[in-house]
Amino acid sequence: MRRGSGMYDDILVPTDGSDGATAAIDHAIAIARRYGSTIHALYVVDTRMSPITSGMDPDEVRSLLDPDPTEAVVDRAAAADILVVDRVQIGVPHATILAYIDEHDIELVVMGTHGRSGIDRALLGSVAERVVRTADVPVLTVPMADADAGSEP
Amino acid sequence: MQILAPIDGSDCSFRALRFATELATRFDGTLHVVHITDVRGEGTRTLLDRAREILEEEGIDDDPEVVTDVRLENLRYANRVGKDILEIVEDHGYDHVVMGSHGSGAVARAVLGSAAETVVRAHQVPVTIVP
Repeated sequence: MRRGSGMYDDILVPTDGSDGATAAIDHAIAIARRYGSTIHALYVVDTRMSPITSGMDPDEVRSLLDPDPTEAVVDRAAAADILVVDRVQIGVPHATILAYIDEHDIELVVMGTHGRSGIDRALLGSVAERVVRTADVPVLTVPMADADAGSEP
Repeated sequence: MQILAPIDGSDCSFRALRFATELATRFDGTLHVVHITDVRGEGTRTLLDRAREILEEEGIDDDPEVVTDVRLENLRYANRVGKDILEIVEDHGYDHVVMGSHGSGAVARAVLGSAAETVVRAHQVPVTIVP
């Protein structure tokens, strides 16, 4: 290694639980491998879109989610021998992601753009854009490999 | 990893350049630096000198390129920079773009901010936006 570690010790991968984020996960893993980083997989239960409220216990809420929304990130990272921390939090996605970056000294965010389809996609896309615009750390956005990647938003 | 790093002379774009050099070194990849402008002047020279300094410090061998084939005279064309970046990516097959989230000052902020937004929204290539 050219430098001591410390540059990208903690990489955040916010996930929407969809399969489309595989490319983003693989990018995060490739970088984590080079820098010896820990990957934080974060899924945010959007309180604006569900009956779940921010006062509920995240672990309890998580047990209601099937399949587990961070599973894809955790499985791929573990298979690549990367340390992974997974969290489910409740809130408004971009705000929750920004708070997580601060609280956990995240140095790089890797996230897919596009997710699922239709209205969901538009909303999730805007989460990535909001994080890009407001985060005070570098944000790597990776186009998701869904059928209509490459089309205009 | 073949990285394209467009710079506009803002502090933010030089931070992005440092990020790009670090990534290129770590991945044993290639890095190409471009500056998109329609005005070649003293400012362009200063900007390229600073970019070369950063590349030298990081031990990267690249000669930053100035791309002048754009119409930037009017802010309404500001979005053009983002499209030019995407065209360069497509023509040369870069697989990663690293750029600043915004320029410096009100006008530059709008210009590069919109360029970054154009590149991210195109969903064409992985792009790292550095604040």
